[in-house]
Amino acid sequence: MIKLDNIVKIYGINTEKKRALDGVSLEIADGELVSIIGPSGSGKSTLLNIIGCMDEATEGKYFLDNTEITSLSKSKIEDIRKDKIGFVFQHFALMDYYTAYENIELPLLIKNVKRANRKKMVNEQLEAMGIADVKNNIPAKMSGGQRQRVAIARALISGCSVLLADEPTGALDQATGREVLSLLKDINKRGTTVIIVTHDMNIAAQTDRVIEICDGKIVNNG
Amino acid sequence: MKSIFRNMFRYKLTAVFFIVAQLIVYTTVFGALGIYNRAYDKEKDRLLSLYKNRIELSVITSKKVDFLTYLGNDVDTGNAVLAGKFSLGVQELGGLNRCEMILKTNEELNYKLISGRLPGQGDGASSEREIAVGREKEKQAVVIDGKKYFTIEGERYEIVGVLGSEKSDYWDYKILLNISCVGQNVMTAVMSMQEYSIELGSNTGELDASYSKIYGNIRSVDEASDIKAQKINSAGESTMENTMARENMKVNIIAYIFCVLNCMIMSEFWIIQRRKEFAIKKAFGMKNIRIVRDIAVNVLELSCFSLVLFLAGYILLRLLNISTGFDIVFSPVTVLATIAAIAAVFLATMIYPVYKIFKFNPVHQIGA
Repeated sequence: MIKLDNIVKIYGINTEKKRALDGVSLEIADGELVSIIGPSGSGKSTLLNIIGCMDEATEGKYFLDNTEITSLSKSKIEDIRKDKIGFVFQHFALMDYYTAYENIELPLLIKNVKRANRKKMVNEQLEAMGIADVKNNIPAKMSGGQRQRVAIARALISGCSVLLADEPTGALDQATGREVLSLLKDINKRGTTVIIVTHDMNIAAQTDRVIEICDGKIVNNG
Repeated sequence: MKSIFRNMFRYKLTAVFFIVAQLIVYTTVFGALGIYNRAYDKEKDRLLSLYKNRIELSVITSKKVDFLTYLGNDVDTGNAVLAGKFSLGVQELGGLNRCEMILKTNEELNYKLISGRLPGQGDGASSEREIAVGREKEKQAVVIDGKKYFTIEGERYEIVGVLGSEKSDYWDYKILLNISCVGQNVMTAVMSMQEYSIELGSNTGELDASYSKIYGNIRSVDEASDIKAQKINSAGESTMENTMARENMKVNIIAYIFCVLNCMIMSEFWIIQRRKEFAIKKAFGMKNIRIVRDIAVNVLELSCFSLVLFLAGYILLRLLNISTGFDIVFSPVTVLATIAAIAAVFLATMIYPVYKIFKFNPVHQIGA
């Protein structure tokens, strides 16, 4: 369960201050498939970063599974990121000099999973995503769809309960975009809360709930 | 092993630059160590050449007179050597060369030989012209019938011993005569000097009585001679600094500092190259300290790999008889210096990454 209570995020200092989020309150239940839409600069990525514990709110309270994130130490927040949240970043955000296998393995390394288990889990994930044939390739030697699958596999491998995807189809052609969206829907069906940030209305229309944000404020809460 | 190498060379260009810088670091460190060891060994040989009890006599004669032949009469403690700025013309070496001349022997002399014996200490008659020279001087000798000779003041001297030490070149440039086996020309040249520096030394006894006798012996030949003497208790001025300066120790130190600075600059480039990787790792919950630890392991792996490469290269060059300009002597000092060199590079390389990683916001780097 995700609960945001009057979240404000201000970037910059003194006269250069920019209010990226302005009193956002929101609840997302476990297992929901939600899309956040809005024009560029509306604050959707900032909202996603705060939900993903990657950024701190300037004001307000954020609860994840009844734990108040805004009151936790940086170290505890890192643990929450490690245990509960999976990210699919815009433009894939894969480590360029690491193979598909090594990219997917990363969250397990962070969790100190034993080598044999890691190998088994990564290979299973590669098979499940249909990218076993590119496991030894670096991102530069993969197609856009393969890269996004690697990114999703990486996000899922640690067994996260919340999957955050920032423009997951933005860098893909339409057909591959549809495939990736279908993959995210499958993941959601297995019980994972999926939050997608997009500016593509066609994608948003395929989610259970659409949250619209404009100038840092929620204008439509689905 | 495969994964270690993969981690080390993931960022190939940076890794190669780092290894090259490290190789230069090791060259400068071992080069400097070599210079230090040579200077240290030379100083050790110099100290070993000093007698426990020493008296230095400065004699200015009033006329050209042979007092040296009588100087040791009835002196029964210590050895006397004519040293100082005493020089003779050696034909093979060209021009005047600084020499020493044994005047009186009562105990073992503090000269170090690598072969042969000291002049005047042979079994046969001591009237033969004999000389002992250092390794470097010996190279210039002429060989006649398998024997080596120097022509000094127009007289031929057989080289009966080679002075030298296994560890340093302290003895390599010395020329040693014995008054009991020098020719007339040398004696004439010596007598014409009129200013002499005589070293009286003993490891076994006090020299006061010997000095009194020598003083009397000189005065009995030349009453008007000016004799000044002083007991020497110190080890004299150390030669280490001069030796190190002569062998360009500073160049090694400056090169080392530049390499360490280079490693610092490279670490900055490394971080720029890896910032996306670190941002992703942080985003997935990796703690700063673990990221720093991974970098530290990476740097140490590269340092150790460079060291292995350096040692392998050194051994290979030695096997091929190619001069490296330094010798690696495995000693506690060498090990400590190597560890210190790695530690300095390690610290220099880690400063910027540590600062950067702790300041790092993954949001800004990934652009999520």
